[in-house]
Amino acid sequence: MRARVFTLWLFSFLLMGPAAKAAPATEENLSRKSLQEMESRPLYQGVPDIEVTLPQGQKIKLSDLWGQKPLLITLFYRNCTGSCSPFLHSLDSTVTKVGGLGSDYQIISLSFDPEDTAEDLGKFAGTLGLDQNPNWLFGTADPAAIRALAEAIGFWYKLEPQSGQYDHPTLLAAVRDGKIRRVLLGNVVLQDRFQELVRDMRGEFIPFYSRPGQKTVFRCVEWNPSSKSLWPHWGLLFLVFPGVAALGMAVLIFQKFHDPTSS
Amino acid sequence: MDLAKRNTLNWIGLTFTLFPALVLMGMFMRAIQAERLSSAQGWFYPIMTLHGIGMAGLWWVAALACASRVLAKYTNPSEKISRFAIYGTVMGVLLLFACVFLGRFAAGWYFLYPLPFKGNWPAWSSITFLLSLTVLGSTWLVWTLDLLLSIARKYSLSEALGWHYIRGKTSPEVPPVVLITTVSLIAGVACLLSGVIVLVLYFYELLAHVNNDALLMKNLTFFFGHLLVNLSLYLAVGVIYDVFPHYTGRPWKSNKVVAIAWNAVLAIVIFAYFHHLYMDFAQPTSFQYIGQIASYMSSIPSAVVTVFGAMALVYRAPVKWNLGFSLLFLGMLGWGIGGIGAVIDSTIAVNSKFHNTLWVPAHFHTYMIEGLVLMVLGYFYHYCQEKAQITENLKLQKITIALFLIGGYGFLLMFYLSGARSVPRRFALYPSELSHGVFYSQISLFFISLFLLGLILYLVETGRRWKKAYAR
Repeated sequence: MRARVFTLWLFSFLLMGPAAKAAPATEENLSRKSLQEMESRPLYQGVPDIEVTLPQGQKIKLSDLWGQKPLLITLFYRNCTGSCSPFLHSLDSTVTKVGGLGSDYQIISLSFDPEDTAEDLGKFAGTLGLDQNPNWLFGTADPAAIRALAEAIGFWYKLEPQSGQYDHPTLLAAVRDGKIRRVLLGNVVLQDRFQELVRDMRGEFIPFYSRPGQKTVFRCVEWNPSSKSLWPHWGLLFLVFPGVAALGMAVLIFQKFHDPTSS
Repeated sequence: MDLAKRNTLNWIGLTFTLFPALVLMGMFMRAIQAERLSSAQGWFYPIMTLHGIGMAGLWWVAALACASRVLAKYTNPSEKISRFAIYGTVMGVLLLFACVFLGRFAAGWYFLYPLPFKGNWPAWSSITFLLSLTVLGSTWLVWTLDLLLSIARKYSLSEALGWHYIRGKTSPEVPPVVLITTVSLIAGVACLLSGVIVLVLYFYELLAHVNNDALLMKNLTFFFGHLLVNLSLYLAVGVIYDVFPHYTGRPWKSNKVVAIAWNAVLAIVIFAYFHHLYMDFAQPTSFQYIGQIASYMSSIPSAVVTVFGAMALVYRAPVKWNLGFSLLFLGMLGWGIGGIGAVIDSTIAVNSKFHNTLWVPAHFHTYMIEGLVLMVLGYFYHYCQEKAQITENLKLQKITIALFLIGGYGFLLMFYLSGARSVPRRFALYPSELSHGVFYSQISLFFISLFLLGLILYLVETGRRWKKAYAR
């Protein structure tokens, strides 16, 4: 009898889970954590209301833009041989797929290179095919103002004298009512993350939290950006299993151990 | 002394040791909120964790111990496994004490993912907490399966669930406690299996360095936690069906209505926990509606059938209103009253307003303190008195009951009033704009003192009988 009790307990104990050990901080964990931290740090901070010069020489304040509708801000520089152009192309492509530009938000791309003039940026916008889009603006500003803006949105840049190139991240900051609501880091603007951002800008609650590189094996539901709907995921089986297994075990126990003569 | 009696008395002894300690912890939290112990606010959340999980676990095993004892009249559950369950429970409780008192683990009794990994407590205390749940869960699973096995030996599944009553037959006669306990145990296996999955996923994250889905973990946690509390109540209600005839002299038998009501519980109860996720907007909307409907359907039929049946049984019956029967009767009514609160809370339109206010602890404390606790304490008194046969001081017992009622409902009223005035739950100290929360906490200290006084009188009364029963 004692052996039976012990075996049953051992079986259940093993079923409940093995002995645990602390998870070491892997490189991947660290990078994911730091990405999340970098994206989270500026959230809900105020953005300096700087004056911007547009290619036609017109001067506007950022509040003129975010006073109308949410504003997405990107920082770049024209002579970048690295990530700036690919990032803007990626943003353009994702904006086209997701939509909402003009109706839900506007975009402004500002150069942080003091060498860039407003006129240069107009030509640069033309090379991207964006110079005729009234809802995606390009511009420059006073270097100190740009520096303050960059700090507010968690962006940094540093000139490498040997190459003449700037060291900098690629970042998209979403601003509503003068406050940062979302930040997306990365050279590529992923469609599902941008979809989240746009819905957030519309004031909707965002019911999904996928992050790049996050290894979540079992989810309850998954967001499908194309159909814009939630779909069942494998994790839902975990919610079905206990009920089905309990019924199965009950049927098994009653069939195997019932003694009709004892009734 | 035979093992069955020893086991029951040990379960009673364990309850009598842990319950006053956990009540004091609750009082400690209210004292912090009342600004009487503000300097101890660093202990608020560790104590909240221990108080919550301690109470939920304690009353689950206490209700299971009651059901096991009553079930033994009709079946033959293993007393060795019951004894093993005591050891496992004590071991799990000691681990829990270690992680809270030594490690200051404070993720709350829901231990919502990823809180166990995100707090300011050391990693070992999180692991000890998970191990504690592993020990408790595996022990209770063995005990639950053994009780189910004891029923299976005598009854077929359709008999144990009373399906022949639904088909219009009246034989074989199946005592209601067997039917209700079978329903509760099958759902209990599902509950404990969901606990298994959630723990495996926690350990999997620790070992394989993957992330879990917060929504999935919350679903599983409430599948486990909600059902555990829900089933504790049902197990205690099953005991009432068996003990009431002893006092009223009238039989309380299974019939078609009883069978339908309790089978509805089995079919629906595992979906009711969805109402804990109304504020989780990622949860598919259909689940939210299922949660509301399941909450209504799993509780209303069984409560109506039970309360109506109990009233009919008691009406003009020559009942001796001693401590045992009074507590059982009042506990059943408290279950009904708390159940109404729970049904209101599970209504989406109401929940969206009251969620995370003190109105939520108000309703679950109602069916715990004035429902489950009174029913179990009533049965424990009944059992000890049956074994000890000591002359009863009914006057003292009435004072005890009055203190339980005035202290308990007064304490609950402060929660309800706070909730109605938007005082949030889980705040250790209230900011100045919520100073009325401090006021209600201060008054609740008075009512908790009354309840504690009642508990002391109860422990003296029942403790004497427990001691004599142990000596015999």
